[in-house]
Amino acid sequence: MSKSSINASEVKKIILACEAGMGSSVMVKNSLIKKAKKAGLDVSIDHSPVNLIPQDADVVVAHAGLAGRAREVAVNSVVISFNMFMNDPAISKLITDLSEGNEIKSS
Amino acid sequence: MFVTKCDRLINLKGDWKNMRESIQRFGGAAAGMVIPNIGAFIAWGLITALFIDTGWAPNENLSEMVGPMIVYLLPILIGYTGGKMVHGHRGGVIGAVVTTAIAVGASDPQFFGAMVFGPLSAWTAKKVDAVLQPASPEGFEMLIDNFSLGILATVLAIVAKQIIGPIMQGVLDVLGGISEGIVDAGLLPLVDLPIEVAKVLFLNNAINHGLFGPLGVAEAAETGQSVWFMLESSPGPGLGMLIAYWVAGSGMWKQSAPGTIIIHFFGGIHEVYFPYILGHPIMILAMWAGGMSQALWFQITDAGLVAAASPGSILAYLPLIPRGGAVGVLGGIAIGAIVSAVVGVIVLRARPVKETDAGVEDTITVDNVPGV
Repeated sequence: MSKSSINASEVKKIILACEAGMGSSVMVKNSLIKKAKKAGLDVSIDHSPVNLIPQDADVVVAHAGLAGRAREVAVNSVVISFNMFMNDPAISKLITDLSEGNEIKSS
Repeated sequence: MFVTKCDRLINLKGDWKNMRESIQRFGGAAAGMVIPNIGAFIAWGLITALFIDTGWAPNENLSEMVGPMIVYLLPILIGYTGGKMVHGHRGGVIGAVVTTAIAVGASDPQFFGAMVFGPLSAWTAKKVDAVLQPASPEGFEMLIDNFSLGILATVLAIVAKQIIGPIMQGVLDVLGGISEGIVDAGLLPLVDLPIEVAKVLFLNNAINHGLFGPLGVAEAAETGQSVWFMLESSPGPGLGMLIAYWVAGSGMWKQSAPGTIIIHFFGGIHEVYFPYILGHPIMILAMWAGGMSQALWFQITDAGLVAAASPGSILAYLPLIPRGGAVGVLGGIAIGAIVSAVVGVIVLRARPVKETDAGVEDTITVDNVPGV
């Protein structure tokens, strides 16, 4: 199972996961990159199919419908689930937590 | 007693979740074999739409490419990709050999065969490598690697050509017969009922690439078009449901609807509309109404696409409409959108989304229902 929390300062790599790793994850990734850039964050953000999430990912972001599988695969990561593909509060919270240096909790 | 009942209910829900995740996994694997090769599918689709007898620019010489591409190239790409997923490049190589053998041993395009035996033959190679590679004497690694794969591929190819090809042809004949029977009996609209539910549970790739794609290709290879390419991937009903939110929704649902429409209808990423159903499940009624009307129209007009539209965007549909098929295809999408919009507005007026200050946080999704 995945980790329950991680400190913002340790987050170097964020992975957006969707089933095929080519559709919705790429879209959410691009919006996250924009937000991270705006907040001046220095993290690498990439996308991946849910069954091939890289093991060195610190935080994995996946839709609630796929988060269960993400948690099984991403044993070294904190998994954050979201419901809406645009303007989801969980994703805004991730950016806020990262820029304020908070603890990032699995959700 | 109450507690045991609850426990049983929770267990049932757990089983359902496991089953859903298993189907998703299968679908993820199928999609993982197909989606990276969609470029080749599109090339084949365009060549077909343009150059076959009934195409836009019939050309006998150029249409010679259609058959070999659908019978060999596309299944071999799938078999290669499936093998590669299991055992890297070596797995891909043996998957390609075995898929070729199956394709030669059968007459219709062997997508199911490629999806099953590509990964399976790679798995066999992986097991053989696990024994041979540690035992290889120094300096003989290359010789043993190459010949072990070559010999194993030869053996599996013979089995695939003689036994698996004909069996897979039989499986395809049965599935083709069932799908034809469904169309002939006028049952396409009913097929839509499970599709809409499965889609929003993220089983969209499992259905489209794991089942309807292979069925559609088998049909299109014979008749030049297939309705199975459209049932899951049509962007019509989703468009209508989102329009309903835009017109009759409230709060953030209403605000986010226009942006979602653009991504869904033009970008073809249907996942963006799933939360609008998961967050307010009664809106599945709008999807059913739109999807069934659309399927009925497809059925009446004998509509179909020449190849799989992926992603399910209106822009991916346009080049794949067969000559003379625009009324069937575009009419169906329009009807799906209109009916779904009207029913969606009625549903939203009768049962508005209960909104909290926190926005979507209180909405129920498949995964935050307690005990699921």
